[in-house]
Amino acid sequence: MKIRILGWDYENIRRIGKLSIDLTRSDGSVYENAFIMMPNGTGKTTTLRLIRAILSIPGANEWVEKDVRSFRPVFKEASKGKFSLKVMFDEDVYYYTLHLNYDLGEVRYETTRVGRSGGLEAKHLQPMSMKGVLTEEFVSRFIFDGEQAQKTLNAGSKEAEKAILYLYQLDKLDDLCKQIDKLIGIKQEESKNHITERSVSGYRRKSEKLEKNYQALCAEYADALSSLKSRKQRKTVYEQRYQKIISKDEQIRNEQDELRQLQDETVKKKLESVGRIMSYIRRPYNLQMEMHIRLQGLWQNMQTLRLPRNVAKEFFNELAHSEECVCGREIGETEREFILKRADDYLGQNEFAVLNEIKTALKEYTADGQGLNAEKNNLEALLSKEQEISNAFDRLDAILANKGNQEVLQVKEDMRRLDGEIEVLERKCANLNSKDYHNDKNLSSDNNIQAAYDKWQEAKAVYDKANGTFAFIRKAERLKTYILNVKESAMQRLKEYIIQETNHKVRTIIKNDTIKIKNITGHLIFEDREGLSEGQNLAVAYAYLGTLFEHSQNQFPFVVDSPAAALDLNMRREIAMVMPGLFEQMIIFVTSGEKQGFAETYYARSDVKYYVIEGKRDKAAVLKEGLAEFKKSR
Amino acid sequence: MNLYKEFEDALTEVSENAEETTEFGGRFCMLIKNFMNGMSDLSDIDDLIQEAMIPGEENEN
Repeated sequence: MKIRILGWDYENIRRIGKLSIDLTRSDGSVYENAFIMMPNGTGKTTTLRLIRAILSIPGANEWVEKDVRSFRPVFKEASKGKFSLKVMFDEDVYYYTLHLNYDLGEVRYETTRVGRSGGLEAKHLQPMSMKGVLTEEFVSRFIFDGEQAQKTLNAGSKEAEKAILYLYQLDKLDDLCKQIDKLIGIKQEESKNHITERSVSGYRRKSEKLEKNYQALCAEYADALSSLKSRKQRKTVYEQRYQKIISKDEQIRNEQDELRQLQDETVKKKLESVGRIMSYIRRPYNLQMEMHIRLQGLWQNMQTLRLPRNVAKEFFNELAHSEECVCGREIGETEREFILKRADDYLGQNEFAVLNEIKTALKEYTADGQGLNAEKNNLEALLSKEQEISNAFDRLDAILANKGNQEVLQVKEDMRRLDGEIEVLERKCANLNSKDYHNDKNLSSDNNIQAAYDKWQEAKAVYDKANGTFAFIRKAERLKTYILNVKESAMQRLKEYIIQETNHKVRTIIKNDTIKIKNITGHLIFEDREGLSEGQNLAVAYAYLGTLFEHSQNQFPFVVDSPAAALDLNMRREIAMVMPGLFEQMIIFVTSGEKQGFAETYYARSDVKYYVIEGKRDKAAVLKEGLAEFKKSR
Repeated sequence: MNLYKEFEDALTEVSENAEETTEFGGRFCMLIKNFMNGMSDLSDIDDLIQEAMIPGEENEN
């Protein structure tokens, strides 16, 4: 982008009342060079400060009251002032006004755009493509104060390197790294923890430990199932063996058959009895008289009948307009009015439908405490009978043993032992395999597969999240390394080229000495010498800055204060000859002392505009225009 | 000569030497250029970070 300053206006600024500087020709083109002669104290530094405030962001937005009041006129009373700057960005003209309220100590911007998009806006606007470019650091590299050139050379200063950084916008790569840090912060915030390699390792170990626990329980379950299966098989073998022994004694076998039939019937009855008892238990009024009494009390309290409004309202309407009531009596006009009038008394909220159902249930149930007691007695009797049958089986086994077959007792004993083992294994399997561990306080991740799995998954999720964040951070750090490598490599390449080009320019300007830049490490390092004279210093500085500007992607105006004051006459002429080639637009603030050897070198050129702003200390400064006035001024 | 070429060369050199996929290299260059021109946001940066490899590990993406 090509940026040009077209001119500016003062109103009540320090020693200036109302003045306009116009740097354009009658055809609208911009003078490539401009000399503004202002004696010390007239407002050179002030003007540079105001131009910088308009071109940079945040600019004057950070000024405090004292800053604003520092521009108050010294020669008269004024409550307000303003400074306007006309800038051209490529083909678009931006007319900025900085309004200064000295009484309130406030400042505000106003921007008028002329070109592709127009209009006045009470804002500090810049073209989109300049967004983030015109920072104060950047702008101060082309709106130069008197000390800036010297700073470029000072040992210990990093200005020479900073100038490359800002003019070539390599500082933006630092901004990009800051954006990455911001993203890392967001990820850390999302994970609720400060993720470090150590914490991730801790989460991983915990997850792995819980996974092992889960797998151990699965293996334990598989073992238990296998043991259970083998014991059941062994029991079947014993049962077959037992039946074989029994089958040899017909009397015993017949008695056993009878007992088994009786046993089957008893078990069946027992199950039915348990079912009935469960049914009683589900109705608590059968368990406790107190409960029955309280439920009846609740029913009494719910006696005032209400019907659900939405459904029942229509019922009353229809009933009122029927010829006959539900009770069979005729409905006349009186009855109709009465039904409609009193319908509201029976209409409740829609939730009353549920309450009515509860009320009906309370009304219709009958307590049966005696039935439960009877069933308990029945179950006890059945259990007793079951035990008697078991004893009868044992007795038959004993008879058989007395008849000489001792093996039957051994087989029976083995079967009992296996029954015990099978019961233990079945309980273990049930515990391990239960899905409902939440409702059983005896089950935990130590003895239940589902609980162990859930706990492992929970820990795994924490680990995965932490690991994901950590992986993101590592990747982000990697990206930052690449970005900083680009910055370093670009800086090195730029330095090499700029050194070469600057040395070439220096040879042209300083002919009576050999000055060569060796390196740039913050400031310029010269080959075979410790320092330069003041004049040489400035000459090198302008050659250096000229090189930077010459190759910059954007073209900026170079605005400088008193560039030649410290130079000897020879050096002034050399620099004056070289400078117009270094910068596309140059605005030079000078004192009358800089005319000799420096400004006078430009007199023969046609691309220079001259202004003089001068006046007595207690009066407003006056503006004079043209080379003749410039030459005359002392 | 436009010294921004030096910047572009530096960018290409870093992207080519990075231990990343070719696709990452291309996207890296584009992100940097866009960012320099004020045309990329946090989501672009986030996407590129996800694309980066972790040393010693296979990139899941």
